Amino acid sequence: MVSGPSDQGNGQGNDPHAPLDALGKRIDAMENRPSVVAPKVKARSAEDSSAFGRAFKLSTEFVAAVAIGGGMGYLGDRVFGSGPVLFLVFFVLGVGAGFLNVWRAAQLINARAAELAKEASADQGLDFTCDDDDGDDDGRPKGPAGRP
Amino acid sequence: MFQQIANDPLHQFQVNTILPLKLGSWDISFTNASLWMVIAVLGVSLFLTLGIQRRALVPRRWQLMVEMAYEFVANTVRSNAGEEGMRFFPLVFTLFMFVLFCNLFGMIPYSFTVTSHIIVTFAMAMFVFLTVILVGLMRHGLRFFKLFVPSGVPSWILPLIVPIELISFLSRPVSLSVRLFANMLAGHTMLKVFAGFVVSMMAAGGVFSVMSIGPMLGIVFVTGLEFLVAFLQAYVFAVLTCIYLNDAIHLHEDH
Repeated sequence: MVSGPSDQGNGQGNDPHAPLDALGKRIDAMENRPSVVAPKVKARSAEDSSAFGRAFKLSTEFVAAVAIGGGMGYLGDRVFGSGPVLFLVFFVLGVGAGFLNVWRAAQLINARAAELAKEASADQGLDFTCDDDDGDDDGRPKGPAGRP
Repeated sequence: MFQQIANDPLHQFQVNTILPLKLGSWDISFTNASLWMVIAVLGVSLFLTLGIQRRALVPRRWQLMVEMAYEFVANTVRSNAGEEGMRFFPLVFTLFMFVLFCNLFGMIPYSFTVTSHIIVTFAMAMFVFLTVILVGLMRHGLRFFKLFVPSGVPSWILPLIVPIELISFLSRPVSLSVRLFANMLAGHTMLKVFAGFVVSMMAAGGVFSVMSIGPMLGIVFVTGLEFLVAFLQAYVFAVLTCIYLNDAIHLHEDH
């Protein structure tokens, strides 16, 4: 069984490695328990990135820019007394800025999703076939000496 | 008080004065919002100081949580604002922990969710916004305004692009604050509306009291979702702060 936390660290006197050794023993004991199964990392990462995307609320990005653009135009009209001209111009510019905001947020979400997918595949790197960018998948990049 | 909360899903957002204070003509009363901000700050301080008291080589649960919080924010800052961005780690970490604890304390029944008020989130967003402008001007001087002039754009289209970039830049504090505020407001209102359904369906009796299991399950689901939202919104706030700081530190360098 796994040893309790109370007996860790006070066994070996002042040996600095004692707590690490105790941790290693506990990890070994954990790994040998049949009930411990590997967590499904891939499924979780997909869930995470979609939650991250939902958290962004692209509508907010859009509306904020339109509101700022319209507000700037409205204030400009008040200052210069130029009727609805500046309001209309800046409203349209605000819509453009809104699309820009949405585009940037979407890029950020995609980058985050790609990052999570990479993390997930790194966590599952126990199958010893890692991408080494030279096509033979031996886990070694092509060395300068031209080793296979 | 409890009666009112059950009947009115928006009652939870009411600001009540606890200790009336005046500074000249300004009302600086200590309200329930102030109280929960103080509680959040105390909560963060206690969590961080008590968590690392033992400083063990092999951390226990609390120390592990503190270290994970530190590592998490540090990685976020490094990957979004680079190594130079680590100068602003204290700012990002403070914002992240404050928003996170305000969101989480808001999940306690009968508590007050500070981050569900636009003025609080807007104040934080403006602080980030002004910090970005200040840092940008200090590091790059007037060249900071090249942020609005994307490189590689033909000059005849610049009169269109520069105002659009400017509006996009000015909308940052708005979207940053509205995102956090709207998420917290919507989630907490939804919880209370579902809870109101349960109460009135139970009161109606008969078939309705059996059917009230539906909104009850809804509450359980939404509560779980709200804990996710509490973390996610704190994280999104921190990530965007880092990205904006990155703009100020590096301008166009790594686009």
